[in-house]
Amino acid sequence: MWFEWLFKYPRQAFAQGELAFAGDFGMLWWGAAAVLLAVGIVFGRRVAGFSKLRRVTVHLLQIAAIAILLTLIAEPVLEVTRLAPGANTVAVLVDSSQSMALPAGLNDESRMDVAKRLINNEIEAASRASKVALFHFDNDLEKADAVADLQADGDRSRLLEALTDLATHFDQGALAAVIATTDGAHNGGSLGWDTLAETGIPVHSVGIGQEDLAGDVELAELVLPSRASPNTQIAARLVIRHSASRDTGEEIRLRVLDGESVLAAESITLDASSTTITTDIVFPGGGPGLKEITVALEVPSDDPLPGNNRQSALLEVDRNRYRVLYLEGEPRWEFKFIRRAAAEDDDIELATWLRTTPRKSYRQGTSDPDELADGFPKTLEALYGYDMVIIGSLPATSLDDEQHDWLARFVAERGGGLLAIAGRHALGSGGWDVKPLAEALPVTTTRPDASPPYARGNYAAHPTDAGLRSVLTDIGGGGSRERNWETLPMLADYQPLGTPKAGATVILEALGGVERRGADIVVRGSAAKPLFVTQPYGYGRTAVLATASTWRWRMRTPPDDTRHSLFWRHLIRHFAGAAQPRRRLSLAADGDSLDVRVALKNARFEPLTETAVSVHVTPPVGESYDVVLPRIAGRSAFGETIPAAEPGIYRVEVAGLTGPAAMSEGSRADALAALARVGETNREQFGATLNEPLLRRVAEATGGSYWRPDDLSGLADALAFSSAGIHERHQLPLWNAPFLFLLLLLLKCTEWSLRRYWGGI
Amino acid sequence: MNTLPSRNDVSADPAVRVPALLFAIGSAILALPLAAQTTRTDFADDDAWLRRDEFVPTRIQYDSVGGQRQAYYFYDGRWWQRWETDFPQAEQNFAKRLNELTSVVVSPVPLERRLTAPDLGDSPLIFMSDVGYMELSRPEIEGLRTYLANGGFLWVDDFWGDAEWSSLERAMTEVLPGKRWVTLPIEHPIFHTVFDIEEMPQIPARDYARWGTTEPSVEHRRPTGSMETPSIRAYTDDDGRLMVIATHNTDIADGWERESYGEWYFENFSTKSYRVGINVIVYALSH
Repeated sequence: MWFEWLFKYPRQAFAQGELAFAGDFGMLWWGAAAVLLAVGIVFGRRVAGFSKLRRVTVHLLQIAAIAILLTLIAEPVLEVTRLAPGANTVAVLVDSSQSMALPAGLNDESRMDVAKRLINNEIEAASRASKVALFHFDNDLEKADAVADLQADGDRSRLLEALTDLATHFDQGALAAVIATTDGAHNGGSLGWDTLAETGIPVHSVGIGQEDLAGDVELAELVLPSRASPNTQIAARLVIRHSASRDTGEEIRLRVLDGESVLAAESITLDASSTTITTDIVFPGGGPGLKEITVALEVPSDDPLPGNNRQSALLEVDRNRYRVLYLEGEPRWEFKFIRRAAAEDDDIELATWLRTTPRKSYRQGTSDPDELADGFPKTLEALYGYDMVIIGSLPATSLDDEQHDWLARFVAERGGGLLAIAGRHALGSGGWDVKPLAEALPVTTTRPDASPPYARGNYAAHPTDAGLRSVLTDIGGGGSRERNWETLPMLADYQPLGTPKAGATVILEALGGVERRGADIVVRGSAAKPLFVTQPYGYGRTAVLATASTWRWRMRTPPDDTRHSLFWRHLIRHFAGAAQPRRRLSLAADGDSLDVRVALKNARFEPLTETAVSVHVTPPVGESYDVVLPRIAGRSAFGETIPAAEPGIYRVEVAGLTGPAAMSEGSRADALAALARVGETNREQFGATLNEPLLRRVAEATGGSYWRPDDLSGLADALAFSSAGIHERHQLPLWNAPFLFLLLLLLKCTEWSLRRYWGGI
Repeated sequence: MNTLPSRNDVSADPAVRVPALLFAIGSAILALPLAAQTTRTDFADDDAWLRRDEFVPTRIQYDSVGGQRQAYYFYDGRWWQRWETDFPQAEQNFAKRLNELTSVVVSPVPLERRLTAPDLGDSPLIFMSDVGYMELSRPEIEGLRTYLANGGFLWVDDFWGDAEWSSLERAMTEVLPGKRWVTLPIEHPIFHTVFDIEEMPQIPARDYARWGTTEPSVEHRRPTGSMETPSIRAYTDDDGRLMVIATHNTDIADGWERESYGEWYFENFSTKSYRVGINVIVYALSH
């Protein structure tokens, strides 16, 4: 308000307009300038007794006052373009999803009631210079006939899509702006910000609702793996949001359900000062099959939205095999106990090659007599058949140059996992620092002459902050994660790793320690050293473990202690599970459609593009059918959006490949399948609070403004100076703007006060 | 094997009971320093593991029932307890050969531990010898049970005949109730991890090597029954991995200990002992 009083016009006018002068700089102006200058000189003599600094100050004030007077005489104007009256249309877009039926927080009105009142009383008035077109959106954008007919009954809010659709396809005249009345509870599709901004139509978003829905507790997110192995423990990640009005200390019970069966239950405690809780709950996956896992919150007292207290996700329990190759240069206990840990996991196929004597080796877990017969896979394709490679105390000279090159490519191109374990012949001590793999490893490996070699010592494994957030340190044990590590037996060796590379993550550190030097045991202090470091490299991941005595975690704990086993099983699953599959089928439900993507590679992990892919779709009701997936332009993948009008579970599997390049790939591709659920979820109960950040971002991205429902007074001016639509050019006079006169008065008062103070009057 | 050539079970023969009693008293006095040594090596809390190489031969100390020639015997100028038969020379020689012949990094200095030692888990393979009169206490039984459940590997050697087998069997039944011994066929991987062994060798104590491979029954606990056939008998875990092996009717460790006895002995017995020993160690380190 004060801005418009001072400068005569709203901010939008100054933001859009340009300053200019309507008068000409002819004789009159120059004459006035001369007179004012003369007057200034005459009066300037009266300050002759001042010091130099004071004289300059007074003259500057006088010159500034003269400049303002000359400016006024030149008739300053603001040149703006304003919407041509009657030539434009303002679209009013009303959110008609179910969340708009919730209380707005103003009186007893619903959000929809507030939207209708604002449209009738203020928005239409603010848009009087233009025609008004009324639309509403939920799952789709639709024209509305009358405000009174609007109902909050849509099961989805696709705000961004609706705005983009409206701005792009509006055909009822020149669209000057969009006024969106909504709670911003967007819950459908991806947000195409660039497309929306490129339409050039300013969106003025009016946020209706409350940012805190009193008393509400919501299971905001449920994250489950889509597949799991039979009879394994599965972790579900939950994000729970609750109103700040909930009491601190209030307990909420969580249950994990498979149908009617309770798989796990836990309690969480609310804290009013932290309204978002992220937690994991572990439950048994059970036997093979498709399961719909539901996580439910049991809220003990009144909850205004009980519908957002549970979520479900599909889980397919099936075998998932990880093929791991372990090359070890000497029989040692670490080898034995890694094999035992892997053997406890039915999903891990561990093939090992062990050098037993300088001329003999011993193979275990191989599937045929030729596998690893030469101490290494015979072909690149055979190496790529593994998901992970573990290298123990093996001198680099055990492999030839081509095999070293294959190992580096195994990580970078095939996307496999690679772990190097400490040992007398490992890392720099084994000459690996000058091999291609050194670049892929997460640390700068060094020769023993540059650092102490692998040696006995007394160390404790300690997770870093990053490590505590990683599944790699989730080893069970019954206590907190830190405690589970603190109580592990000491490690008995360490190999200096060199410097972790940029982008590497230190998961574990080695703490403290003692080391034998001759006959003495020397305490080395408590400086932390990197113990387990990982990094992504190319499409794969690498890791280095600076010890070979984790077996002590098995041998020096009670028999029922599973921490050693879980550490290795999680480690192998993490690195092998992240390996790139040769065939990938991704399936995402989006409203009433399914987005299907298939990517294929040959045995050398080169993209297969000269082929065609068809998928077999089994809908929840009706007969299954085949769909041919075209290649996605510019990408080595195939994809299609398939209509899925019927709510329920859809199964999509790659039915077959055609084309010469795919002839040898057909049989294994048949096993590629995925599931997705379409519809049947009441999304409007979730995230139903006012999403002001989203609405502000919409306004900023399009050149509009965000408005609160209790203050739309500036909306009319904002619309008048809208950047879109049909405009007229105007010159708005500024000579009588109060700001200029106030400034002139301020200058003269300042001059007078100074001269009075200095004794010049 | 280094027990003295004499009758075995003195308590079973009344004619020698009194002299034997007097001899036993004298022996006990002489054995006092030995008992003190046993106490000293019963580590309760030490950091010996810090000194270890990858594989550290570890001999298990145990108590035996009976008196002279049962729980202990006099040989080569000193008194020996049963548990220390062949120790430490056998382990020292074996460690040297392991270092020469395999990629195993082995400590030249063996350890001795009781089954109750808190650091027993630092030796995932332990060795027991001459167990014919062995008696395990309750804490020892529980210690061994825990050790085996964690993945530890026990090798029992140098016990002959039925009575000594029964002694081990009784003890192990208490350690792992319900387990059944299986005799490993020659096709089992343990006979082929490094060397292909086509026949289980019978290694006698040095003093009998000239007369054959089977030790005389008088040297062993009665009733001895058959001592002709050497074998490896084993306990396996639920996944079929070996937990305990017993090299019965043979004295593998004596083949290591006495390798310097002569070229003939080395060729005929030590080489066979080392082949079995290396296969067992590499098997234990890889399964």
